[in-house]
Amino acid sequence: MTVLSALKTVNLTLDGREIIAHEGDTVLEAALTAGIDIPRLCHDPRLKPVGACRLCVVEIEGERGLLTACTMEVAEGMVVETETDRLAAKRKTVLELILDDHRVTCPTCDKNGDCALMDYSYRYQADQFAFGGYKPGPVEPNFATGNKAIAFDPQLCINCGRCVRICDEVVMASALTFKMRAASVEVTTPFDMPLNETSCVLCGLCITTCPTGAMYDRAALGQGQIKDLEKVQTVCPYCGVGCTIELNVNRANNRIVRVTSQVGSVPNDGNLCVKGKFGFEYVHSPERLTTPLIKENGEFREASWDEALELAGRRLRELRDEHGPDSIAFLSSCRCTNEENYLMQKVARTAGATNNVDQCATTCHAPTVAGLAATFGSGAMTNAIDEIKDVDTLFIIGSNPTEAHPIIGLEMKKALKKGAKMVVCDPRKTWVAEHADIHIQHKPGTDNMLINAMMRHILEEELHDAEFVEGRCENFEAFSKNLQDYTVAEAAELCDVPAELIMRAAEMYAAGEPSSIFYTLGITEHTSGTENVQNLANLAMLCGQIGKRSSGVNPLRGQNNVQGGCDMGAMHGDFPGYQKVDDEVVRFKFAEAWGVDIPTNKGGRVTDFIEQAGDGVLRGFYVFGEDPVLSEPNQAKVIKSLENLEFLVCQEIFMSETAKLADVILPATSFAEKDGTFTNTERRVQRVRKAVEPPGQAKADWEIICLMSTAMGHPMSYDNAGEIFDEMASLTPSYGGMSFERIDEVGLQWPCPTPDHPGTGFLHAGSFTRGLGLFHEIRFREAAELPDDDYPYILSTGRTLYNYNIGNMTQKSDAIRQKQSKNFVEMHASDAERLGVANDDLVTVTTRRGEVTVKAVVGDRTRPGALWMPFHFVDQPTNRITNDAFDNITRTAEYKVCAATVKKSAEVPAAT
Amino acid sequence: MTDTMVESGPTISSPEDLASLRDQLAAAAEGRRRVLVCSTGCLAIGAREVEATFRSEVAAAGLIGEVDVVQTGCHGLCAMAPVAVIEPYDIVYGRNRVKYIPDVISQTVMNGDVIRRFCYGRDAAMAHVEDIPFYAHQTKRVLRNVGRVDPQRIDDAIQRGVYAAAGKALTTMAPDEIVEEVKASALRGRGGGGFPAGLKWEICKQNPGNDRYLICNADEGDPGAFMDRALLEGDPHSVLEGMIISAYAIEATKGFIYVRAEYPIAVRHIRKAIDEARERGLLGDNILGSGYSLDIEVREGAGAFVCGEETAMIASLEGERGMARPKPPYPAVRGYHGEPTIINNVETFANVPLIIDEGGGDHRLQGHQDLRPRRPGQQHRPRRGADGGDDPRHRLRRRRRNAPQSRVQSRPDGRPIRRMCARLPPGPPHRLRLAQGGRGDHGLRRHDRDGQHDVHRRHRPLLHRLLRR
Amino acid sequence: MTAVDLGPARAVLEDMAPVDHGLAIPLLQNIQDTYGYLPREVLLDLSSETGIPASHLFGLATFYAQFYLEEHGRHTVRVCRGTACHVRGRKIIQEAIDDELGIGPGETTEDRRFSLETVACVGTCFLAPVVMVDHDYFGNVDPKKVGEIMSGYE
Ligand SMILES: Cc1cc2nc3c(=O)[nH]c(=O)nc-3n(C[C@H](O)[C@H](O)[C@H](O)COP(=O)(O)O)c2cc1C
Ligand code: SF4
Ligand code: FES
Repeated sequence: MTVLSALKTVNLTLDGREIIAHEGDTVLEAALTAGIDIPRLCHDPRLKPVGACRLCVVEIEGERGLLTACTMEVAEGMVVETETDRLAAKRKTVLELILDDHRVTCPTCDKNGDCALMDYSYRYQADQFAFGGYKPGPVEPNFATGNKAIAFDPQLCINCGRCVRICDEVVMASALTFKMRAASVEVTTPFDMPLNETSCVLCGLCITTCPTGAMYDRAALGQGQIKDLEKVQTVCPYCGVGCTIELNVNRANNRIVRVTSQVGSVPNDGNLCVKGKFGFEYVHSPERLTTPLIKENGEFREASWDEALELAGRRLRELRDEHGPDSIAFLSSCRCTNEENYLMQKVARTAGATNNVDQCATTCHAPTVAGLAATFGSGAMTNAIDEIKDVDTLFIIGSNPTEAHPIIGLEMKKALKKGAKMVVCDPRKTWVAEHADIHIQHKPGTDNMLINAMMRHILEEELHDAEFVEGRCENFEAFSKNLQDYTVAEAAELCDVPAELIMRAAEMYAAGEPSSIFYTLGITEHTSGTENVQNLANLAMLCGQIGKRSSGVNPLRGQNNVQGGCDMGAMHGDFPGYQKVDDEVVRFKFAEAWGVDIPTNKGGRVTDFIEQAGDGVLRGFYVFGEDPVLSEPNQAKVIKSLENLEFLVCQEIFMSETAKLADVILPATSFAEKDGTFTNTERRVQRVRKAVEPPGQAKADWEIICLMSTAMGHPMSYDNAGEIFDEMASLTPSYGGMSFERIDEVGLQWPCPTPDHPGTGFLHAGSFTRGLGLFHEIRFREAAELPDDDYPYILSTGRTLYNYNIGNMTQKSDAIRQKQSKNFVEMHASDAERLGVANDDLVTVTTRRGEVTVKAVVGDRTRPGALWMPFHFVDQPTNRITNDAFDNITRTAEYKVCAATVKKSAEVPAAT
Repeated sequence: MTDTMVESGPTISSPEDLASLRDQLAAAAEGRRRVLVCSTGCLAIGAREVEATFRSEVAAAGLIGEVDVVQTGCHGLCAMAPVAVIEPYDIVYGRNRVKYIPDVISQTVMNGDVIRRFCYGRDAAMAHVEDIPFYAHQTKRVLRNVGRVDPQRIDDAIQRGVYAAAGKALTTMAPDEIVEEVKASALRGRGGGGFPAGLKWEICKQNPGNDRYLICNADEGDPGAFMDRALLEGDPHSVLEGMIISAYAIEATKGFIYVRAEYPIAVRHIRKAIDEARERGLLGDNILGSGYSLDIEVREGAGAFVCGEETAMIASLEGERGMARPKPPYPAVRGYHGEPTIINNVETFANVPLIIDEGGGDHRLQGHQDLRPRRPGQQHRPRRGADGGDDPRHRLRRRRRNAPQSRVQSRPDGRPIRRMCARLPPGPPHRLRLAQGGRGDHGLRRHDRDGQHDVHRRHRPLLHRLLRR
Repeated sequence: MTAVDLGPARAVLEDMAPVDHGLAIPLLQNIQDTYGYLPREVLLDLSSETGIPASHLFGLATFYAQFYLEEHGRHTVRVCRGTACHVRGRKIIQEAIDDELGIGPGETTEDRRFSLETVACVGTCFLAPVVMVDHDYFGNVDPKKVGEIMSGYE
């Protein structure tokens, strides 16, 4: 029973052609589907039609007057003319009236050639002076003056309202509005406030939807009009959503001028967030590394590729040979392509002869991979992004989607607009929390207590799906027995949440038709991370809320290609496609394909590597596109450990904090300078394309990895990324049916085992990957470090909308820096008052591991007694003070809970 | 924010209750002396002092309990403001002056003697309502209670028969039957569009929705229009009654009255009326024991003319900028919050109880302006024919220009304008330059004057040219 | 600029609770009744209290002619510019008001006693020209009577 087949169809005649349309479609939609291009200015398929511009008028038989096609619904037997002399005359007049209110600046306008108003004016030969012509007044400053991302020229604005509506309806930021009315109407912000002081989230959708040049990219102005540009379709380098973007490239100067996205693109439908839209400047940053560097006497000097590779390859080889394969390790990069991750683990296991390979999932979602694999059999988001809008009850726990995964946030907003209910469990008041039906603001680190109590309540009230539990799961007895130790009352006490809320949330989740769970690092970055994940899986199985459209357990992955990094087997225990290293058959397959013996050592995780480096066990380390100094907890210890290494080689695009410790640095390429694929959080494999030439001598990473392998004595070479992909696909059943040709336009979701397989939207339909779903008995365990008299606050870390990870990419963008460039700590007003701290005061946050001095953001987003800090900033880095306590299974650090104290700093805030 | 207290009275829980209450009230009112002071339009010209003086003089003369001083809506003779009517004689006095009020009380109120100076045309022969040509040639239907009831006392309305039709409709008729009656009556919307009301309701009912809504359009923004104001200020209960019946007919779950804020008196009166109706069981749950429940909310406009347009009004009710939305879909199909919604004008609703009373077919035969079906050539049926003449001495206070005289008239539609204007006071060279209809921009040209006045015909607005000449 | 007391606004909100999007206009009306205009701080506060975006409140406040974002006179004088009043000399009345108070439409006297506005037809055409002061109507207004009318308002 799919939704599509339920749609009734309607027959109508368009310009003499018989057309079949869906009931409820507008005449415009029906026409566009039929390839009839009705002119339109105020229409954007993402928005509710308003019929404001009246350019889309058509003649409908039997109707008086002209009707707007964008608002008129199709009806059986309707006869429509879309292009007649009368319509042309009418449209011409409409356009002439618009032109009379539009300063015609085409020669200097960025939009020249890409402007709907221009196209239609030409098509209908509208006369710009028909009503006298526009009389420009003085150019007044407006809300966008001085904003480095978005610029607005009211003299070009035709008041179609698309920017205002998209900001309101799609983004729900509602930063823009119309002021006044009739002839004096104007787009602006509340009280004409500067954009960055409003609720604007700098997504730039106002720019991409604007049919004229009125809203434009500030930085792109003068960098090239459409005739000078080439649009290269690729995938956003930021979060795991994996938006399809177009890099608008000016070949003349090898620069990306702006980023756009087409309506209809997967999975983002033309929507972007601030990072995808304005975060590309790092590609052209003067800080990019352009030549290989070798450290001599503590100083870096430029070197040739040959020299650097020879040194790096030789040193790793020597260490391996002298101290055994466990003395070297490889850290792969989830910011890089599948091909590169595939090669990295291949190099580790061939040239390196070790399973010491890992990537950043250990920092974030390793518990997901482990926990879901143990319960369901595969560790990935169970549903597709486009299913989110049809979820009835969104159950969001430890996740801040509107900031960390903004486009998934937009899908959730769609669901909300369709009437979905929302339960949010988060110690912090995020956007979703504030808009939730139920917000459980529990104490950080008490998730399992909460989930157990919910499940107990569901069982007691018999709200569970007994049939599903019976038919599709195992170990239910032991599981339900375990729950006997957890009552709602106890959980209410321990989590510090009203019992009533816990029960209502449980009921709401159980009752949803369907419900779906979404979680992020609030679940995984705990010493009980894997158990947390398993318990969410328990909850879904208990209620039968999995294995169907719009229903399942959905981890939202962090880095652009962390799904791919895991899929590619850049993990000590897995080959590509989660084929186990300790499975002899699998090992044999890869040994056969790669022509080497596959090492059988256990291998470790990045957190192990760092510890082992400190202990002198690990001696050589090849770090590719990661910066553990900033991303791993307890920074001082990390630095000390890495300094203890005998040889460190970094493959980087910037001089990162880790690279500063390296012996050799290899200049790498950004996503815009190479070909390959990324796999997004919904398991969709998408094409990444080279758009610009890399700076200086920088090389595509897959090439560098091959060269390194060769330098280590294991020759490796490929002609292009596609060749690597094909090799990988041939060895990886879930990717088996994919090729660059098949994913050229739109990516495919794994599993996709054969070339005719359409890909898989949601997992576990009918049965789980592992057969029966396995219930786990989860005991609640306290976080590793709890507040005490010396450190009375609980500190959690997290992401903001504007920045990404360690900030090295986002902070290169003027637009983003203007919005957010400094670390801060959020604290509750009651705590601030007690400490005499005011908003914007400098405060020092101290833990057992160190201190940072940052600005205080005082409010009610955190619980009293809780502190929250982002980890995006090099100055005063948050991970200087986080706790290096790890999940018992995946060794993911407990970033979400440590004990801290805070006091007003004596330092005076630097003038800004 | 009602500023007047709602008097409590017996709850009315069935049409029988209503009828017996009406009988009681009528018996009590029989032959009572009442001074009905216009307290709406005439407020602009001293009605408040007039009313206050009547009260204090009645008190001074020890007549409290014997003589009631009542604030009413507009009597129609606005040019004679401030106006008062003395019951039970039905004597109309205009240009009331505070200093003569003791005389009025002792002579007219107590004895029924006419004082000439306050009469229409200062002519004692025109002391009584029915003798004044201005009234004589009118057929008051929807305005029948205006000026006759205290709009702020529900008992007054009940005594005049208001809510009886609602009782009949809600307890003896099925919703669809009401729609059929309204269709049969050929009642056309009075808001300017002139769409047949019954047909609109039928369309609305054909659309499934979660809820249906009823909106009374009282935004009356057309310059020169004040019919809705007269009704809301003078007889709000009839408007409510019409809304209750209509809401029941379309099975609406909630009603709104959108009143422009420039009508503070109307806002006050309709709010009070709603509070009283709710208090007495005529609004709210289980109205008159019928099982039907409805509540009505008043929303004040905020100064945007365009909000009189129905889709703009809906936007405004939803809390948006009052921008018109393209039609179709019409509000009857997708209106307030996307649900089927009926918007009708105040006067349209005020007609509904009459239709229920008389039956749609009979009502149509009344040929009243409110009802004339849009069929060229059909004859209107005025109840009275010939002209009663006018008092030559009654002059309009003219200012600087030979300006139009204005007052609320209730006239059959389709009547030649020349005849309508014939009763303008004759005066210095009386050339008709402009006649403005009650609705919309109907500036009529001079040579249109022999044409028919059809509230639904669009005359070309030549206002400016006419004035320049 | 002195800080505006948010107390009365919170009281209005409490009175009207729960306030959602649909009640934004009545909310603004009540706020204006309370403060005499719509102070910026109040609107921003209401926005965060109710979740109605500040942009919506601002959009409404500028769309509807009755809302003022600037401090307004204690009394609002409205001169009807409907057809009847126009014909019967509202211009002259407006001039008389200007002579008396020294303000034109859209302006406020320095002592904040009066603001002057014009309004499209108040529906009292039979008494044209008509002037309203706050909620009171004055009909057949003579330029000579303007001073007298105004003296009734403090
Ligand atoms: C600009 C404009 C202003 C309008 N103003 C009013 C008005 O003030 N009062 C009114 O009843 N209808 C007004 N209308 C008509 C309404 O849109 C609508 O047709 C009417 O309320 C329907 O009620 P009816 O069928 O009872 O006439 C206006 C229409 C337009 C286009
Ligand atoms: S800025 Fe562009 S999108 Fe916004 S109203 Fe003006 S023309 Fe339309
Ligand atoms: S596109 Fe239909 S009116 Fe603008």
